[in-house]
Amino acid sequence: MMARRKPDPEDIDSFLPLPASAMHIIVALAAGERHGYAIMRDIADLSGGSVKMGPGTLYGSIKRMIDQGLVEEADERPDPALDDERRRYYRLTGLGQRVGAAERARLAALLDAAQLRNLGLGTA
Amino acid sequence: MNRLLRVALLVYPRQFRREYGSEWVRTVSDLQVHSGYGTPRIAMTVVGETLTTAIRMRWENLMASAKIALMVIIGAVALITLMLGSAAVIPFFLALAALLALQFGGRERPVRASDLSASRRWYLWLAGAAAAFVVGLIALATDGDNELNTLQWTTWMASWALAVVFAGVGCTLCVSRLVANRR
Repeated sequence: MMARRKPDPEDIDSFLPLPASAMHIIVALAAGERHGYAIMRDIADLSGGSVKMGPGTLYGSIKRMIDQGLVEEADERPDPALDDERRRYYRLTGLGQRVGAAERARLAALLDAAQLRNLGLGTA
Repeated sequence: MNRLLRVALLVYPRQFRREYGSEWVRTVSDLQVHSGYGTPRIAMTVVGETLTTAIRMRWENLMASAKIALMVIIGAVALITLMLGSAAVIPFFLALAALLALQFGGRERPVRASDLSASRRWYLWLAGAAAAFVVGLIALATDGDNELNTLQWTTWMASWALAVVFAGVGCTLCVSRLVANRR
């Protein structure tokens, strides 16, 4: 039994591959600060309803992403007059943006490779 | 519904409850108000996710420290050995602990908690239950003189206990998924 190692913030590759749910959260937050329910809704919308993240998974993921410096809590509410000010809003950190970009590049390379091999063409 | 939320929240680790409990409850309330889902669907979502996520979080917390993990495993095996009065069960439970450690104790990633799609694999839990049940049956069938020895008895008891747990989780996830897909 070994203690788990934390990814090294100096080494972006140590975060990769990102689990799908982390990447979904990063993509949702790439558009700006969001509170928990807005992140869930965004994820469902962006995936066409195929990914429905529950609140436990969402906050479990956010907690870990905050611990690792990918996400942080926003101090100011985007528009306190229009929302419940008790809500917490979250945003990407610089590290979170870099890790998201690295994961995007990794997935893009994988898709390119799949396209080169005509994966999915001619199948139902 | 509020009572269910309170109970479900108790299954999550204390630190998570303290830091995110109120946000978690608020988000479930948002789901109720804005998603258009009925209360049964929300309730089953909460139950299904609690089963897959909260328990994993607790296990990961335990496994976060090699020292604590080792103490938990040795303590659990010692306790079970004492309860069953037989050292023959030690390899069985050590193997089980090793499997669980392999499943949950890997390299830390930003997210290890499963999402709701975990309920898609409800049938794997039922298959596990069936396999554990068969192991128990084999243990029962191998008694030559109609009297189980300690190893057979322990195997029978442990495997059927596991089968009950697996079947319970599988059925809950299955109902959760059925309710979720009903809309």
